[in-house]
Amino acid sequence: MILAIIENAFLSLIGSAIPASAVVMLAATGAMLGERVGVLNLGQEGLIGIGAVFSVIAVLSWGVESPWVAMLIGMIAAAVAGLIFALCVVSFRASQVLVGLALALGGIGLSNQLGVNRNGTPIQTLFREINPGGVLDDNDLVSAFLFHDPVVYIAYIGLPVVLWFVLFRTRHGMNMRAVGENPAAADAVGVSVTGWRIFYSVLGAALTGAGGAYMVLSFTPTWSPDIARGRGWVALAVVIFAGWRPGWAVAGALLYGSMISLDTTAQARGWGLPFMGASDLSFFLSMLPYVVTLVAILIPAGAVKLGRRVRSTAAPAALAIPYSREER
Amino acid sequence: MTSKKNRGLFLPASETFSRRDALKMGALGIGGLAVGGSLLAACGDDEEDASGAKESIKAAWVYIGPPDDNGWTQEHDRGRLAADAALGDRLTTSFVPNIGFDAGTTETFQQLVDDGNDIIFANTEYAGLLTEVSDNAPDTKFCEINGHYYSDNLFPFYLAHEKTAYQLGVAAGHLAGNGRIGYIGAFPTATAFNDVNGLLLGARSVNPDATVETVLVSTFFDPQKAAQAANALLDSGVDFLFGVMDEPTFLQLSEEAGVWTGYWNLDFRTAAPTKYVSHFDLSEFGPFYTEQCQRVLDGTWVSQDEVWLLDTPIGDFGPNVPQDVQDAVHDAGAKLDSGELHVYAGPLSDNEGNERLAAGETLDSLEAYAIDWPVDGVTGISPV
Repeated sequence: MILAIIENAFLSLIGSAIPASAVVMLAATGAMLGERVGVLNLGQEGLIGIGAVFSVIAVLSWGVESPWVAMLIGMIAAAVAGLIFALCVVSFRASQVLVGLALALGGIGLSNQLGVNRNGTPIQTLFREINPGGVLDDNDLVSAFLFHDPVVYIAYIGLPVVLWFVLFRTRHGMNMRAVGENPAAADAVGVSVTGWRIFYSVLGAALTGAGGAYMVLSFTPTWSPDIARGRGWVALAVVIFAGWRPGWAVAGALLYGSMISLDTTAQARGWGLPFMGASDLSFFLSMLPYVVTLVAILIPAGAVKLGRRVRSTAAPAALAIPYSREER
Repeated sequence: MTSKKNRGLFLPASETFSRRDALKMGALGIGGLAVGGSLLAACGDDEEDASGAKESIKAAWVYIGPPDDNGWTQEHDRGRLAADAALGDRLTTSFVPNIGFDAGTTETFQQLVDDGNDIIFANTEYAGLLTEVSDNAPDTKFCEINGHYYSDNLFPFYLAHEKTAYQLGVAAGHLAGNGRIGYIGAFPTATAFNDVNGLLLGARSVNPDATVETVLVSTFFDPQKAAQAANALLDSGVDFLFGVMDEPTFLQLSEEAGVWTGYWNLDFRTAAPTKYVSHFDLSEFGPFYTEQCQRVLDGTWVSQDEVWLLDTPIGDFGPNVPQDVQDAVHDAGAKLDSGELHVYAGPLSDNEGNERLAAGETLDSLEAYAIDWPVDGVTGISPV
């Protein structure tokens, strides 16, 4: 009996967590891509906004009728922002932290401005959930893991598998990691550090933009100001939690998503804590994702502190350090 | 300076201050700004005659959200434009969007006072962030929606929406097959209590087993949170979904789930073409704003000592709502208006089992404005 209740609770949580944090998953993958080659882009929050608002504009103003095309437009816009960022920090060797913060805040401002007159307007061009038809029974287990739209499967399965394979099973991936760990050595064997860093920052920005596009083309089919609302920052935390490993990012994103969903799911299902009134619970629960994020970051940091440093969970050695051939 | 609450460079335009005070300020290097500000403000009153009537006035609106939100703020802005159109050249209006709850809010109100606005409307309850300014600007009038503060130049106005919620509840009682109604609220305030209580009592007048399940999201405008709440309620199996959100995300999700839905602010059937039931009609804002501005023009504006409640009729029905349901809703509305029926009629208990109204007792709209408990049958929200 109790087991059934726990199972039911877990499934209803995970079922709503999966779509809720697909955007975190996409942004975390995008950020990880850049960080693997040594570029720390703190501007994820702004890139989500830019990707989202350009998808909204594509649908509402340019009459785009395919969600894939709308998402592509959002990705291109985010990639352009990512290119500007990359030129600043890679070519001109500006501080990655400062330019990243500027991109985060500037991107939010830009997207809010472009979103004026589009607030709350319903978007009808949407990703549709994949319906396997009558093959499967519609029980809790099935509805928790299936019946999501295609972007969800790309974000949680397709991208991590591809990224893992490229990073750890190909020569190209080894070179990528070299650019992030020891750019001078990579340079010495003929890898263009500047070129690779710019390319993967731009590709990462496009993926984060896809996360923003997903928000408005599926999860909440409408534009609203400050659309990312912290998800970009959480994505950066998820990268650290995951130890820069694509597979672990899935766990991090789902953990975060479960905490986000706990707020509304607990209220809707009438779960309560014995020492708090239900109406008080909402504030407590909206705090949880950030507490969990904090704890999740501290676990790897704590492991390092205790001398249990696992080689693969450490940050790329050259992360956020500009590379200059003359200074090596 | 006589003011205890002088805020830095912002000097309340209406503040009386002597030449000596001005010289002192000048010595501090900010006199020019202060005197300039009061001169500008004084210019607006040039046309005033002995009776207090004015040739023309300026009015400003402070909005919690954007005026294109397809919801609450948009309806207020429609009211502003109605007042503007009705009073022509005699009224100049302006608005400030997206004003939240922080120290900048107070500065916004102070700026509007300094800009010489004769009357200022707030479309959410800013409480102390507003009264700090209004208490020091006695010549400027203020109307604060859903407020709880009364002074010589400030009074609250709101909507008698518990009756509208009751009528929507009657529709929900007919339409929700399993009698389970979902509600997405913002904060545990009288607005939420009147919504859920009205829905439940209206629905129970049809289906005695009806329940209302509430999710509070601590915001009026956050489509992501609203979507999560809507999904959580729809997944748990509600057959009717309503909410106080300022945007229509939950209507779209209801439509996808095939669940009946309604909206607070305006007619938004486009978001739920086949499952749309109805909405709260907020078109009384225009006449209210026009009347208040007219009173300032005439010099007859006076503050009130109780909240000014506007009628909130139920809107037009969606295309698939059966005629007998529409008739039942209108019938209930007529009885509420005539006083034959009350939303709150004892015996009523709250959802913690305490009796709140004895048999024969009723609450009127003014009393409902202060309600702080959910009736038995509502879950997810507790008495305050």
